[in-house]
Amino acid sequence: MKVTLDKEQLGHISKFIKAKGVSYSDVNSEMTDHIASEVEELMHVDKVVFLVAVKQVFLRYGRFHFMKIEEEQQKKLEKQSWIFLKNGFMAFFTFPKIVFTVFLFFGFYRLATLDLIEYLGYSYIFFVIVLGVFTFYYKRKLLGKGTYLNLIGFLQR
Amino acid sequence: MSNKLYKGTLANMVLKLLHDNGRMYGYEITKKTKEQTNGGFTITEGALYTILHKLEAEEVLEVEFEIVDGRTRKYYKLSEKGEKEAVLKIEELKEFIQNLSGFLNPKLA
Repeated sequence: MKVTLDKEQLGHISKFIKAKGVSYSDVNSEMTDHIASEVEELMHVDKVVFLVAVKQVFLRYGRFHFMKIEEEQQKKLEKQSWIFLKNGFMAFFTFPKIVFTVFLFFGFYRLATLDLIEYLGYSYIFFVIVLGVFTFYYKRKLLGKGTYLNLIGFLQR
Repeated sequence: MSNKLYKGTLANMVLKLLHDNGRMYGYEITKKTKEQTNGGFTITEGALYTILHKLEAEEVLEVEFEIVDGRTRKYYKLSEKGEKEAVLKIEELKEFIQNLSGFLNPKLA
């Protein structure tokens, strides 16, 4: 019959791995599963109790056994975060965001070359557009489409 | 037999196993390797998980998590990119063995 370790026994293995310097929880749970599988097989094949099996398995794991795995995990996380950052940055150069990016670039460029009167004029137009869009969308969202139409109907009465 | 001879081909062996068996978890890979080499080659956990995590970061492998017997089990499987790479690497491995065999038995080559 297949041997399955209980929660307490798994906790014992997890603590051992942590004591060996494994700080990443996903590496810890993966190694716990690995060692637990080894222990279960040993208990099943050699018909030994948990403490005997676990001691036998633990003996194979020296002080620096998990160091390489930890280092590789660190490298993996650095690589993944770099890919995540790169993808986030590159997303601004895909359609339709590219249009927004170009618009923003020329917008800022134009803003830098404006005189005061032009600046105030454009600011006013920009403010009115933003306020209009904000009012339209957020009123609709807050009150719901039906309520908004009812409100318009009520105001037009 | 010295494990050093296998070291360079370990990643290819892992890709071959995943290509043949679909998804697998770490302990299963070590067991299967031992089985298929008739106990001649044992992968150490340090080497295996280093390779698995490296291949995962390179997006050659995809992972799935499942709760089995009250603990989290991490399964590895080949990604679309990994499938193509596995086919290529298996061919490379076969060619390498053929070349090595030719070198060891010059009369047969």
